[in-house]
Amino acid sequence: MSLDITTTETTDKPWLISPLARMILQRLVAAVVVLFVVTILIFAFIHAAPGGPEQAIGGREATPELLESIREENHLNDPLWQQYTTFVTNLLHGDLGTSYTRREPVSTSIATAAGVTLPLLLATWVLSTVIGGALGLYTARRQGSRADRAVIGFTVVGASSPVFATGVLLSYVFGVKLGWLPTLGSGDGGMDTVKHLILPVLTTTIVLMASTTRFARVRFGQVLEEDQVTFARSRGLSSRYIVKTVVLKNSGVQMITLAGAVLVAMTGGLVVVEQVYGLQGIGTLLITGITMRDIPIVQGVTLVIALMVVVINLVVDVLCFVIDPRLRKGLEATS
Amino acid sequence: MTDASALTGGRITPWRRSARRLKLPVAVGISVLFMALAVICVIAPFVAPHDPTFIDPTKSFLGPSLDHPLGTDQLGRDIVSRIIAGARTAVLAPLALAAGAVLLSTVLAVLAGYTGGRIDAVIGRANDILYSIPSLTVAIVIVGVVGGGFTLSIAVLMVFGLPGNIRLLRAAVLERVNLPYIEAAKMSGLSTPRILLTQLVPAISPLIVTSFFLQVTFAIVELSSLSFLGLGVAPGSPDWGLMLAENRAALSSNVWAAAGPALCLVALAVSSNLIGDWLYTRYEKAGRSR
Amino acid sequence: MTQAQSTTPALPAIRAKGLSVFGHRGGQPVSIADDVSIHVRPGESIAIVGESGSGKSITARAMLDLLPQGLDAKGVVELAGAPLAGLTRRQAQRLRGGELAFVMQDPFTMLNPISRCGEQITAKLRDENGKRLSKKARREQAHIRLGEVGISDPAVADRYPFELSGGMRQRVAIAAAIAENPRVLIADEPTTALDVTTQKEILELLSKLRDTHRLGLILITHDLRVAFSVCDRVYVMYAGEIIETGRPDDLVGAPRHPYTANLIEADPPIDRRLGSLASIPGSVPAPGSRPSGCRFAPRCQWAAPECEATHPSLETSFSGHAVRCARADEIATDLVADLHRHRQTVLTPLRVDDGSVPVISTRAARRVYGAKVAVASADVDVYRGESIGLVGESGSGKTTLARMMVGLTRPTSGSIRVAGVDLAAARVSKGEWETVRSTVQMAFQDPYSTLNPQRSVGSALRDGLRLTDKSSVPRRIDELLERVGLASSYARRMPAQLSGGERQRVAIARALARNPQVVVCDEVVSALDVSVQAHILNLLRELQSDLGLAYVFITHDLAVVRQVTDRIYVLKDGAIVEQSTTEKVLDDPQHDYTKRLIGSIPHVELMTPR
Repeated sequence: MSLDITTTETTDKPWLISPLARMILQRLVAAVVVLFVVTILIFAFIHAAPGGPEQAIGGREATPELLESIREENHLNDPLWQQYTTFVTNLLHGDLGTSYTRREPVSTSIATAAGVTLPLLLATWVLSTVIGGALGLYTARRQGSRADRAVIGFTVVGASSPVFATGVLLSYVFGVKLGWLPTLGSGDGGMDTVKHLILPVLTTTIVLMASTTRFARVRFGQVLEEDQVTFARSRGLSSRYIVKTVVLKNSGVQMITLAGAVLVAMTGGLVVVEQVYGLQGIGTLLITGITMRDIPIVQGVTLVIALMVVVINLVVDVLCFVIDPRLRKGLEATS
Repeated sequence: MTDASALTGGRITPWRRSARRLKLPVAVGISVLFMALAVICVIAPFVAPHDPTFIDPTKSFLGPSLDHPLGTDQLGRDIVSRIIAGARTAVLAPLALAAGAVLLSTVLAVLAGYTGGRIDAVIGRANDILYSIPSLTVAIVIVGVVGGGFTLSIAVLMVFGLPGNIRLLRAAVLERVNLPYIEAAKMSGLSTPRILLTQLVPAISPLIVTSFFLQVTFAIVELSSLSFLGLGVAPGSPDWGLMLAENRAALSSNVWAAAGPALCLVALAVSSNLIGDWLYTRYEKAGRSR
Repeated sequence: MTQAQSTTPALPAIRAKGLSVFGHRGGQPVSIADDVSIHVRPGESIAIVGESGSGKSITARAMLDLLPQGLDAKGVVELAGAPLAGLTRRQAQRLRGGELAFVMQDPFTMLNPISRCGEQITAKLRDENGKRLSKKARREQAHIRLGEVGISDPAVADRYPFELSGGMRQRVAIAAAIAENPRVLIADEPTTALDVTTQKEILELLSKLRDTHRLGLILITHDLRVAFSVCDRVYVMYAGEIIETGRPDDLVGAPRHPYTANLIEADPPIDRRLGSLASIPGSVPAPGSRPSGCRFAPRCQWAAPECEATHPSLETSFSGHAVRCARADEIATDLVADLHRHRQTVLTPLRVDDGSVPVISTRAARRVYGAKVAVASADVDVYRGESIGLVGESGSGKTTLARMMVGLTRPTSGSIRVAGVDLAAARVSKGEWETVRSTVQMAFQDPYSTLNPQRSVGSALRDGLRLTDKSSVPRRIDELLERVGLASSYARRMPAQLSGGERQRVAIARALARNPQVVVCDEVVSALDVSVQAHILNLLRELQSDLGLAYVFITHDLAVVRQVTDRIYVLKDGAIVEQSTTEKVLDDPQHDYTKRLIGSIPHVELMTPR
């Protein structure tokens, strides 16, 4: 016997703001808390680390006197809490500080690097989500076919290969062996930049598309096996209707969550890809920041990534609530 | 009986399943073989034809030959021998990482799912936050900034390996805590620890096994990514990720210096992935009730 | 209900001729349904009845051309005389829904959960030009269609399925299915997931629609009562083929196939308690391992050597009554006489309240979940050796009450005394729990989740045995298995290797492991086929007389209650509305709700052969 759920009466409670807005507000508060924690963690980690930043600025040959004056200049002798307060105060004014090694505001460095990373990020994300989703749908509807098996084979290999391994193999094939595409650097603008981005995009797309395909195939396959699909087919509804209104709509929450997760996970993958192809993007900025002990850069980049993650998760949550009436009504019922 | 129940009452999915059954066994066989090979390299690194650290500048970037099946690197070190030497970290570290992460996840998931209430809420909330954090990115920052070694990399990735597993296992626990067989165990008077150990954990064991192998795959990818970036491993040590980083500039001189370790990494990750999938389907099929 | 004129000259609305369905295993075709011929005329309703594994659902799917991947069909299906084979996909799509509609079992999974009901009903409606209707027209249509299925509240069109009750969802699904006024409606167990009062409403709705829309109605069901009470003709399927067909009266009064007779005998009657329920030995053979002769022969008490040698064909005897049995004529009189004799073995109530102290006693037991009251206030007593029934529909609180009686759910207030221990007390000591555990045990509904899939039968029994007495556990496992009619070799089996009935036997054995005085049976037979159900009910009765057990039966099935209980508590919305001896409640119900429950049971005189 399944549980009989009686009709729920929609009670009209006079809320000042809609439940959705309330939820968003709650999440925003939570996001601020998370970001606050992140700043503390970054700060703590950096100052717990051995080898001060003065060494990085002064260079290997710096005399103790020079190092001391650098410390003084950068307020590194102040108590930690004071340094932290200054850091947060500046942060609230939109000031991420000045890079030790690059001698420019951190925000400038990040903006420059983002010019390289963002196109890479967006192109990869769109491609892997769209192609992965499409392949997932295609294979879910033809489970067991030859095409399905081929795609599965590809996705197992693609999804479990480290991105740099894929990258190195691709640059050997397309760069060294065939000589079709450049394998190093960001290009000099225009078509050249596009050309330089093809291999990095391809590399990341292969990895992420594989995961997306696998996930989408399973999810779409689940929905396709549900009674509602059989019922829709028994009513003679077209495959287009079934795909659009039944399969895609009922997988919406999972697919949006996945797309968000992919975007978040890409932050790590991009660091590696930028290293493989020598792109001067955010990832490279972070890695050089780390090796040069350039604290403001590391702090700035980490914060930007954290902010991105928080925003993505918030957007994902809101979208899910918008498309699934069950979540929506549940929200109204509990609020 | 399985046959009878497989076709009863219009539940026909077994047919689809058999239609969908891939030629996995061959792939899985190869995977197991490769894993075994990797383990041999771990136990007996002396099977290597050369000393993996022996430097001979005169033999820089030699191509494949009988003496050096995959050639040499810039410093003239034998690639095959370095791959064999690198198997230790490549295999053991992910296994340890996955074992730790899955063990801890199981404990926390069972605790959260079975007790429910406040413990569940706390674990769930912390888990949600951890889940939204990109593990590799954080590992890069922490390992990079602290400058820690391999152990730190493993520890950080282990912590960030928890949330996914906890989610999966906790959901599985929640699905089962109210099932009759758990309630029957309560009714027969078994103590809570016994119910957890002899009923709940076996019931979710197929998922635990899958999680473990999936985690091994992740760990292989993430750990090698860190070493590729030069984080967590000492320069010059025979690590597959690091070898790739060192030799990728010389693809045109000896491609195998980079492709060798790259292919080994891919094969290792794919193998553990396939074995995990296969074990799960077998395990699940054996235990599937209808 | 209405009798169709069997002489109607009208062309069948749908006809299947020699329809076979087969799957593939290891490259070999394995037949699932064979040579099925079925027809239904406009305004007529037929039923296909059979147990699990009979192939009834697959046959229906084949007629709709909706077979799951991997299965193929052979044979002819004609819609109003026109063969369906060779249609283009587009034509087939137009036919499905347009001419041929389908309703499935589970109203909770059939509708798209995130699309409004109105949109789903009107999804396929088009105007004369083949254009999608305007928003306003769709609304209007949705309201009309909802009205047709007895939903007068137009707001339902704007609801999502999850906001509706099961019965309402089933109505919405029917409205969607018949939106294009099809000729034929195939309903696959449309009421199995519903409560008995809702079931009655839905069956009445289907009959009404059959008349108003001149629908040919094909009802697929495992429930003989439903089939016989609603339909004009009934096809009985066994192991993939039709073994008997005829009018309900003929089948009930004078079944000609031993299997049909056995099914009728196994179906527990509501109006009397039988000495023992007939059960059929063995189980339905799986596709691929069906006998080459008569498929029922290995389980048939009438089987002769010739039965195993040749496969009998379906022979029509008179007025459309056809049977697939080589010995049908020979055994006809004996079969009916047997059936008759079986129905005579009526038993009077077993036990009466002897006024001793009850083993379990609840007083003002109440359980609340948030704002929802599951059990309002229940006073129930269970005496040694008696059998009581907690009867009610879903949401009546019967399961919650039973769970409180065994200590799986804590009452919000009131008292629950089990062997002197108050389970509502703030603290129940370990020793007291031990007393409770060895006094009352429970068996559960779903045979597929009652056993841990990763543990063997033996280890499931071992837990309880060890806790009573650590000695000679293996021997006692064998004894327990023997008690429930299973060979000792079953101890090594895994649950996946057992049939539903065998699992329930193991579950009962597990409950017996602690030597309880009371066993609470939560719908233990409701998921089982009728012949298996008879096995289990007989077993429970046998155990009761051998071991002096008391039972608490939680069930929605009044016929089952009649067979195994001495007293009944009728629950509605968390309150006990009527309680008395089984005879009094069922034969002379006092409360309106009890009357309605009894009145909702499909009424067939299964008991009076002509």
